[in-house]
Amino acid sequence: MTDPVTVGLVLLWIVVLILLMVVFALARQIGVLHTRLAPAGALMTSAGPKVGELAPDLVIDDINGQSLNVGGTQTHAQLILFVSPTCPICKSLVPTAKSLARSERQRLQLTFASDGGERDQHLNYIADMGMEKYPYVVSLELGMRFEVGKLPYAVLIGPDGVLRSKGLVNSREHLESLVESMDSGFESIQDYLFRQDGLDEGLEQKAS
Amino acid sequence: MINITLQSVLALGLALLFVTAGLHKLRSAARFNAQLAEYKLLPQSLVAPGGYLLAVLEILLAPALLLPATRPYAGLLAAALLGLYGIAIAINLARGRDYIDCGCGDTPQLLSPWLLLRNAVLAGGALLTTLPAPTTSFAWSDLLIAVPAFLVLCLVYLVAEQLLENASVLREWSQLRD
Repeated sequence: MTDPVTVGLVLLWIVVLILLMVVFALARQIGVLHTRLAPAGALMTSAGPKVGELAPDLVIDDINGQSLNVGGTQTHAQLILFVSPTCPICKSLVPTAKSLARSERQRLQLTFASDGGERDQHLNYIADMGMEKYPYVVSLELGMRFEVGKLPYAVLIGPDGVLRSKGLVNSREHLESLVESMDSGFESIQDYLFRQDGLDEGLEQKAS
Repeated sequence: MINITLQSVLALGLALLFVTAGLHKLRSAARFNAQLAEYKLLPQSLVAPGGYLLAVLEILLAPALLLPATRPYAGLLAAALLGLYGIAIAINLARGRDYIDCGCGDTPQLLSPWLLLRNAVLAGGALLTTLPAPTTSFAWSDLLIAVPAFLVLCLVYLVAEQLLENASVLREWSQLRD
């Protein structure tokens, strides 16, 4: 190892590796920043009707022309899942939502909602995903009233017509968290953690 | 003719890449199938078996790349597979469907021409493993090349992936603003 060329080579390798690691760390930090600063994509979005307040009370026609009540007093809690035939994650979430609706069917009514697009496309989608048993609404108005930004988005309305929870959902865990939040009265996991910690600082911010 | 040490490093890197990609496809099969369906290249009934086949193929490629006896064939197959993915991406780019998820990993990533370049470079690497390499007796000084070269290869790949991911997120943002 006393050969100066060898020593130089080893040193250069070390420098190259360190520099590469630095570049990677920087690129990674930029990536993390992007996700932190993302305009949408967090589970809870502040747009639209507030949790704990009365949800918009609408009567709309589903894709088969039958009228459907959204909001207002109902026998069941309503879970509205906003999906689209062109959204890949929705495809993996629809079966999950159906299985959740089956296991909670005594108290939960699942409705699928989508906006715009051709009727045939939606009908194919319903047949493909086996959604025939659930009401399927194609309505721009519904999405706008709840200010749905990103899909798949879910909204849970209690039997009393009060909006219980809402948010972007990507997995069964997210969907269950909505039902859980209705049972527990916490708006979200963030809200639960927040109240558990009892952060005075945060409470002051909320108050002001 | 290619230096056997460098070839082994390339093969090891590619094997690692394929085995992680394949295992990932198996673990989140539902998601990968949805991504594959969005490419709109396979009839709906073939998507699930197709996805399974790709995953198994990728996992089998890893040991085949590492064994010197099967390496040339595995290298060729790996290049073909990467080429196939490249063609699938190119077709969807040409169709203007650049908003679909490439299915490259956990974080959703939009299609872009950069993915074609990435696949071309990887396929080039795979083809290099098919070249005949004279076996020389192992010397400790080979490790001086092999270990850092392998680390550099991995890091360069990680950096490239990260930058692609960042670019994809940025593009989503600018589309949101429009």
